[in-house]
Amino acid sequence: MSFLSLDFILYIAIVVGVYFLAPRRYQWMVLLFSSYGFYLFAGWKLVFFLLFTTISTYTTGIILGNLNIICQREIKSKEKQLERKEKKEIKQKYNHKKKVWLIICLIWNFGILLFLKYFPFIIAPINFIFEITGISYEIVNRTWMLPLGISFYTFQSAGYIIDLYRDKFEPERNFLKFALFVSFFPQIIQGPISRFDELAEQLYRGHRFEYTRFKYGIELMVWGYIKKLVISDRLSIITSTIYSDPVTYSGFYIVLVVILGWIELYTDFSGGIDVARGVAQILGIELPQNFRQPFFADSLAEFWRRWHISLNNWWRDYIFYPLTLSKTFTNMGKKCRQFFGDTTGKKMPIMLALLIIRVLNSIWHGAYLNYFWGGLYHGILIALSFLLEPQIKAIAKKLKINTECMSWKLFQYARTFFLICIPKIINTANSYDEIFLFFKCLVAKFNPWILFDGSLYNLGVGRRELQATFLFVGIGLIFSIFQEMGYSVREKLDEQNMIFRWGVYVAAICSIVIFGVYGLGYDVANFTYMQF
Amino acid sequence: MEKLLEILEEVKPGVEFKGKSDLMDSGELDSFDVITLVSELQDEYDIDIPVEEIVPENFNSVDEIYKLVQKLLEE
Repeated sequence: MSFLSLDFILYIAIVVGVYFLAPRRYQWMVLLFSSYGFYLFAGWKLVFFLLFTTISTYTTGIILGNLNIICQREIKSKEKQLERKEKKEIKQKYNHKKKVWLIICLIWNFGILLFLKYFPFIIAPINFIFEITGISYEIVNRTWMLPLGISFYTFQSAGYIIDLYRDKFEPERNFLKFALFVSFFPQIIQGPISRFDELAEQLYRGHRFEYTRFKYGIELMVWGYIKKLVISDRLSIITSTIYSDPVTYSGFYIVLVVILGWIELYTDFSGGIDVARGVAQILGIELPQNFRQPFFADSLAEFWRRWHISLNNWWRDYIFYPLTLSKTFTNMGKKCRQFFGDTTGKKMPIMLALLIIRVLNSIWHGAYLNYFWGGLYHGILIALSFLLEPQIKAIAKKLKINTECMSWKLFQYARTFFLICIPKIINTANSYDEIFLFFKCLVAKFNPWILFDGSLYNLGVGRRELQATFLFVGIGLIFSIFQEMGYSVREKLDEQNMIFRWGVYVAAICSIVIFGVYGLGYDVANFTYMQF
Repeated sequence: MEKLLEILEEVKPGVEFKGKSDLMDSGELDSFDVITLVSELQDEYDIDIPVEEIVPENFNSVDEIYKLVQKLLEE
């Protein structure tokens, strides 16, 4: 069941009704049934993968929780006799046991994900080994059907189990409650990836119906649908037209397609997240924010702190920090200091970890070489700007550049946007030839007048629809400016008179009905991030 | 405490650390700053800061960072 279907709206209406009619102590059960009900609509066979992850994570969680308790008891029972060193040894003994369980659980869960998602790339080297060793056997390549939201629930479960390994909280001992944490339906399709200590208590605690929260949730959902149906799906018609024939649509069309491509991707992904967060909010549950005005980032590093926040925080907490603090990286840092000096040497391990994170993040989208190059590009630029930060600041100071004024900020936003546009061309192309073709077509013509002479109306979207799309892009930009200034758009709307508010609601819903991409002749595109 | 402030000033020059209680939450100390700071603290005080201690509650203010260092020194 897609977020974009009327069935989904109906499903939500029924779930919300039953949820608030149910006694509060049983509301979590309503969420569990509705989450599995939602999942079963995607196909009953795929639910087994979700169950594999749930059972393995739950069981390992209990084991880790028990080991944490036993360790603490052992230390407490001998507290007076033990020296600090002995306490440390006991902790190390249990940490070793915990690590074994942690690794088994992670291999199992990420193994399923890797097998299903990257099967062709796993079998290619195996077949190559068979070939060179003369074994006359070939594993047949095939594409597996990916269980709905497998990346998202696998990452969320892995976060839970790593946090338990770190003794951050107690494990959930009620299997059904834990199953709800893994499968909570608004977020299972494309995130956000939640943390157990932020989400679980909200899921298990009952909630009273609150009109303000209900209203805010609906508003967020409607804005999410506008982003997806009125902006993203409309722009996707234009970007597909240009990408399919870059020779005809060369020069400024290529500039346009990259800019619109980013707006399309942002409104697609953040629109879906808005719908998910809106549904959860109606139910009284706050999901984490996944975007924070990413196009107002003053650097690439800042861009990744504002884009797909829950995944980037996951990389930071579970890969970046452990990697940079690992013995290997610490020793590497010491050696680098001998070669490059103190200042640069200290930064080297951090730069390498940055590079790894950005490449991992790219490959997460798909194991294709263009994603790899895109990730490497981001990693190198972020690492270099981290390395050269003091020098860049010194140059700015020497040139007496005011780095606090508005014009400099605008320059930084434009620079960041320009930098993210380059790999966008690389990531969209299907081959190296196509990448070269795009760049060749980009410089083939100088035709900026296509933006003003009506040419844009010949790209598959009519004048009226395109104007409406750009109007909503403009509204989105104004909202982002407000949010960047620290205002809440929904709170501001709430302060207005009832007639104005209802005028906005009616206009918003009419806009989806009139300008949204759906109905005869249109195929509503599913959310891009569902496939990841 | 003076030494800690010196390290912080070195990691993030020009920031007024005293009196702030949301250094990590507000993004004033980003992940690069935090990891640079951790590495400096490990070197200066000869302690191991385990990854599970890298949470906002330990890095949101100078006092919290100081408390973390003291705790690890005692362990």
